Amino acid sequence: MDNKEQIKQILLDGFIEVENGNELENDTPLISSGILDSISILQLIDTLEKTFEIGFEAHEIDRDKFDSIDLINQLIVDKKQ
Amino acid sequence: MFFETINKHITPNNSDIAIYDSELNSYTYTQLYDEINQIEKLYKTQNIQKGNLVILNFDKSFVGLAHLLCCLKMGVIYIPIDNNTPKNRLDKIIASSKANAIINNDFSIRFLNSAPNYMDNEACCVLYTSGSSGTPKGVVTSKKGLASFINWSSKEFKITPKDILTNYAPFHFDLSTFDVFAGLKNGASTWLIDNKLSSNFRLLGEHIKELNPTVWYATPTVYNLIKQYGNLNQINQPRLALFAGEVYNTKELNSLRNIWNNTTFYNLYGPTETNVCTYYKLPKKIEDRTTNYPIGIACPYSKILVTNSDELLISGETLMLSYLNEPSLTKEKIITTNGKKWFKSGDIVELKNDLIYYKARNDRMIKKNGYRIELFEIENELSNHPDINQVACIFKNNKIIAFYSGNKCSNITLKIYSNNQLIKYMIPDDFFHLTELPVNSNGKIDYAQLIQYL
Repeated sequence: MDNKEQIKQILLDGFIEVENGNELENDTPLISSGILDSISILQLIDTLEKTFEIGFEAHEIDRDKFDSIDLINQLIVDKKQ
Repeated sequence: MFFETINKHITPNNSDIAIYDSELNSYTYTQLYDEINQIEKLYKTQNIQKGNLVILNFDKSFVGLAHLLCCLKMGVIYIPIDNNTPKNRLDKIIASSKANAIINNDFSIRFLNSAPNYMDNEACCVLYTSGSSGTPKGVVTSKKGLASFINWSSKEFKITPKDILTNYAPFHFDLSTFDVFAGLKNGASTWLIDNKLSSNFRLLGEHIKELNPTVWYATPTVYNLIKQYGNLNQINQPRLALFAGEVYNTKELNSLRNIWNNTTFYNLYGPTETNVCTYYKLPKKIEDRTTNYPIGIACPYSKILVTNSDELLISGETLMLSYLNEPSLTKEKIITTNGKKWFKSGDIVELKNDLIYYKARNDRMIKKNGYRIELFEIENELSNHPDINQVACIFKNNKIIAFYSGNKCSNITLKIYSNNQLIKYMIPDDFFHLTELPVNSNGKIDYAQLIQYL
């Protein structure tokens, strides 16, 4: 599974209820669209840190940077480098 | 005038810090004095006058606060709103308030209505809250009421120039009146926490460590999140933690009190329509109890009454003047008995040993994470969706669930639609499609049966 598929799986497992996983696309806005609420975002960040073995600094947690699977993937790629 | 209650320290020569912003920049009382005067000049050239209604549609900042204070100084009635309010909801507030002007995030002024507004001279500001009729309603707060609350709370909580108060609640929540006005009145410093910082609890934790605020006033949800994400054991304890807005589960409260073991805790209670009207100081010793703490006793400026049906009625100086431009709703909620006006809170309470305990609601208003929500407002907005015939919302396990009939839609589509119509905290957590919604023998939606579907 690549990063994006893994992020999508995390979202579908614990954060977004859809009948058909295809409804959630890599560029679907997650936060600005209201799909994730502010408390879910905190939990999502915790899960991402554990799954990808990375850590976000407090000032790096900017909601706009977590707004889609594509953007989250970019953050993880940058972190891993 | 309410401004005279709080402006003693806002002078040309006071180098004490009045405000910290979300980046922890500090501003002195003199800077605040100058900023207010500059804005006053601007308002005067733009013909904004005493008695006008002005919507403040911006996030928290030093300049934003100076705008609000300038309104108070000039007798302009301000309406603070969430600057992320969807356009549809904002339009409703503009139309129903008949406001004269709106000040946007960049502090530009847009004029709306040149007709003079005949506002009660006693009116100070209007706080919009979720409306059971399906549209938001504006609570008109009086200058006298706000002064009573600020005078009492300053004394009860012994606010001094040494204090740093946190202002977590947005300006459109009555909670924020304490942080800002009690801070300024007593020459203390107030830390303005804006939208972005208020949802980044890790950064909030780091800032708390740097600033060491002494007084907190927030909802239990916020305290729980700070506890979970803010590394509380690394920071100094505040001397005072006030909570309100929802019931604080005693087990959760005690787990915070075990960390903040030198902090004095108060439970404050009061709907927006009356601001704080009862209070309860928690005993110093952490008790081994499973039941919730009481909401306490009436504040000295309040009178309370419990009806035969256990509803709490509230009277006194902080009672709102009216719901803005809603005379029939005002009449329905404020009743007059023995020459006194009473607000029907809709809260069911119990009196035990002279202390009031909150039990439940007598209507469909809910509290989610401290936010007050009328489920009917959500139903009303969702029923405008082209694919939806009927909607019914229920609230269970801290989740709003919307059942609907009509054409089946994807949950993502419905979330996005809700986000365009409703304020973020009102967006349902889940959607369920049903061929038909269940009705009872009176032909009304059977909410009890809906719960069975979960």
